[in-house]
Amino acid sequence: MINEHFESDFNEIMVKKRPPRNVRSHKANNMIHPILFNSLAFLLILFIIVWFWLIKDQSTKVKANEMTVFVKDGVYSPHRIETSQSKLVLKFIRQDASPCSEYVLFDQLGIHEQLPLNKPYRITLNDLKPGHYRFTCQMGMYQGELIVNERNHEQH
Amino acid sequence: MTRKAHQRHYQLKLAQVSCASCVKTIELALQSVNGVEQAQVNFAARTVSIIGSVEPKVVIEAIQRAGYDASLIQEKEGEKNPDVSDHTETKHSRALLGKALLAGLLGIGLFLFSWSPWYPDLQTLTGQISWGILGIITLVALLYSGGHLYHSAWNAFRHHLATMDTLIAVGTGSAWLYSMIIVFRPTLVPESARHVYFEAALIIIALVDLGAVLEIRARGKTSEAIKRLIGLQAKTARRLDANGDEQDVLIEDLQAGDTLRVRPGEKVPVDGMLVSGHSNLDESMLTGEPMPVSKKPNDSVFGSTINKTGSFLMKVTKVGKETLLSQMIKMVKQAQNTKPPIAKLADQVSGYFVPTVLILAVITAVIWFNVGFSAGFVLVAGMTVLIIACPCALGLAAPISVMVGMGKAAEYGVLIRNGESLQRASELVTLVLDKTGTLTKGQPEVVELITTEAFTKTTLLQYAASLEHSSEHPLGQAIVDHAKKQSIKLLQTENFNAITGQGVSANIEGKAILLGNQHLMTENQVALNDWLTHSEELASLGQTPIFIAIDKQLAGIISVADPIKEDSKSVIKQLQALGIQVIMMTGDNQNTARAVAAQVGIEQVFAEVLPEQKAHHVKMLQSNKMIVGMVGDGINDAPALAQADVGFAIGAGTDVAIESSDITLVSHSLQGILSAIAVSKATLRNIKQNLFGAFLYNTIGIPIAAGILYPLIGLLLNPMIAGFAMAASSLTVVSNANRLRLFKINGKVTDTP
Repeated sequence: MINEHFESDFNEIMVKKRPPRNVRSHKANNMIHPILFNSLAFLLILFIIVWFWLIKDQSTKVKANEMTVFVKDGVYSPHRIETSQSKLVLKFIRQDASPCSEYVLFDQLGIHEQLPLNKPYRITLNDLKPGHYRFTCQMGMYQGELIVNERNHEQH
Repeated sequence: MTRKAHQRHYQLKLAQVSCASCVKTIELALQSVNGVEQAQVNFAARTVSIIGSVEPKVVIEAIQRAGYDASLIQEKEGEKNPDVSDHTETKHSRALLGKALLAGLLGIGLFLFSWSPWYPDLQTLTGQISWGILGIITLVALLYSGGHLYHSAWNAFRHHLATMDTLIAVGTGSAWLYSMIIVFRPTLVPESARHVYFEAALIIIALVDLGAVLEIRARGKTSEAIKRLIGLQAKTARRLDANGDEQDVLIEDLQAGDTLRVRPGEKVPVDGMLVSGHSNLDESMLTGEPMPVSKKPNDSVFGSTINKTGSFLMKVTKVGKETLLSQMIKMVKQAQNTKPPIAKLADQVSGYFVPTVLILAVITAVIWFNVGFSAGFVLVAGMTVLIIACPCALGLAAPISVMVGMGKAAEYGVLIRNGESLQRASELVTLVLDKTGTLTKGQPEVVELITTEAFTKTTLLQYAASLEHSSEHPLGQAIVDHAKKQSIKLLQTENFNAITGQGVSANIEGKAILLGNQHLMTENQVALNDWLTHSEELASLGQTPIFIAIDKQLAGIISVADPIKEDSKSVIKQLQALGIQVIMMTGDNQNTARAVAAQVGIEQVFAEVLPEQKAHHVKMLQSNKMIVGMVGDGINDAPALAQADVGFAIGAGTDVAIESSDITLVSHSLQGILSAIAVSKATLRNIKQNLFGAFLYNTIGIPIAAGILYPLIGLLLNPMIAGFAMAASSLTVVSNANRLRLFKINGKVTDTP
């Protein structure tokens, strides 16, 4: 069905090598200026790169040694967690019933937990070394990052 | 019921609960009760399940204070806990199905409408108005059926994240927006391209919802194995009180030290030790071995196994989370969520996947636009790219297979620690087997007694057993057991002395007795003469000859051997057939070791290896870049198990072994090694199929969606087809993983009658 719609397009551009109307007039039919379209597209690509790759969300600093993380609507909130302690309890509350959100994995820490629905579930992280730890759902669509900073004073 | 410090889980039946909002009130009321860890109301079943250390009475009072009523549900055996999370999931998938149905019906309706004579014409004002109304209806339907997707895409976007939902939302959203622009400003595009895409957006959303529903269903099956294990747990036990009266109690109320009666046909409630009676137990649910195991006093019995024949009494040793079954459940659950290294690539890709696809869609649009195609074509190509891309299939490829594979392994009594162990087990090149307790039963027996003419066999055994009575050496124990079986009375010893690595000496009835190896005899100037050839003969049969001398005169030889497990030979043959190099490792001397190895068909032997050297030998093998597995019972080979790429602990008896191993074989049979390797290989094959399929799907699907075939054969994918392909791709991954459930290990070794 879709193909049918474009048959005339195709004939005009690909088949009729020497069209009675020149290509420029066909483009004019689009009513969208090529320069405008191309610059918009370029800006869009630039925006995608900047927005999704270069800018990162502000991280949330852990004040006490427990932090509540909601699993809801496609994101962990907060999804960037910053701490400078070696021990941290993350209280996950999963409010998304879709199967994607069922597990939370901290691959580098070897932690893989199943989250119950609408019930708090605590994950205790001990002996955290400074570094960045990604945590995701099974499919990597829910994404978060735990940032452990250097400690100013050695604990214990 | 008495108050217990430990956690309990029970259910209450609720009364006077009429509306769904009561649920929140009750849950809130219960959260404030001291000792309630978790309280969850199931509105449909009018029950509340409580986890905590608090008594039911207190909870009921709290519910009454909140204005409702409740009573305790007494669980009967065989009655299943209504699984709360299962229930919510069904609710969720039912809602999704409704959403899919609405969007689907409307989409198909619009699609069929295009052939109708009443199809509104955009050239006319009435046509434009009709389409405008249809566009609004579409929007409402999209928001109803795909609202969760748009919401989560927006939410992710705000946090600079791009997910699967982003692709669907941008794809369908731009289709709707473009269509609305066409409706109000049709002159923007040439006549031939004046087409609206409301039906495409609707059908895509319907397919995504439907795909999710089917995925939930298929996923439910992937955790079947764990549900089966959980379902094995017994509910009640028959406890004996101080007067010996029997009383039925809940499993949760049992404590270590309790004495229980288990009748034929009943489940053993928890782990314990048989104290009186005999029986045969079906342990297949834990070990995967179909043959019942005979049990006598002092033998361990495990919760959830089935008592086949006799009634017996048992002493509880482990309850709750400590039982073997609970440990198994915990380990399988943990392992099911780990990833094998092979999945790393998919993981790395997933982080960049969505933004890349967004950029590809823009580039696709730019190319077609600049070649000179109309806005409609440009939109369809770009939108199809967004819709067809499926990061889920990629991300799901490994985890879903691992989940099924780990469960499958558990069915065969094989517990695999994580994805890495799973992958390595499938790539094993060399397998080192510890001799004692692994190839052999680990319980030496006296097989032969040869005496000089001066002594009878009984006297010899009496002296030897009396001497070894206080020894803890397993060989000595074999002699004592042998004497006990013949009801030989043990004698008093004096000046007992254990000489490390040689044997023991003591005085009995004024005679100086020496019991030990050749070294001990020669050092004490006992002439061995032609007995030496005798002993060499015995050693060549894989037995350990022990000399006994009385007053410096050789009195005889007691030959002790650790019997080889029935299935050792055939398992080794099968391992070798798989192309795995099998090596035996033992502390025994070369002759004995060679003899045992020959009996089971092993050519390469590391003999006279001290326990602390075992790990070193494994390390040496690894230095040749080989993936080395090590099988042991963990008693003195824990470091070697830890050093190996894959450490197999055989017989779940020792906790140390489970801790230091990558793969735990619950049964004592070597068959478990084959099962572990077979399941690992099958799982890895499944993961590879999934990864290959998902990568191929995306690398072929995206260019086709972008219209790469259009100049060649005039094919531009319909976005609805792309939606179908996308939903089908992640479903295919889940279904392929589910195929693993049907996997069976062929060629069972134990053909016991």
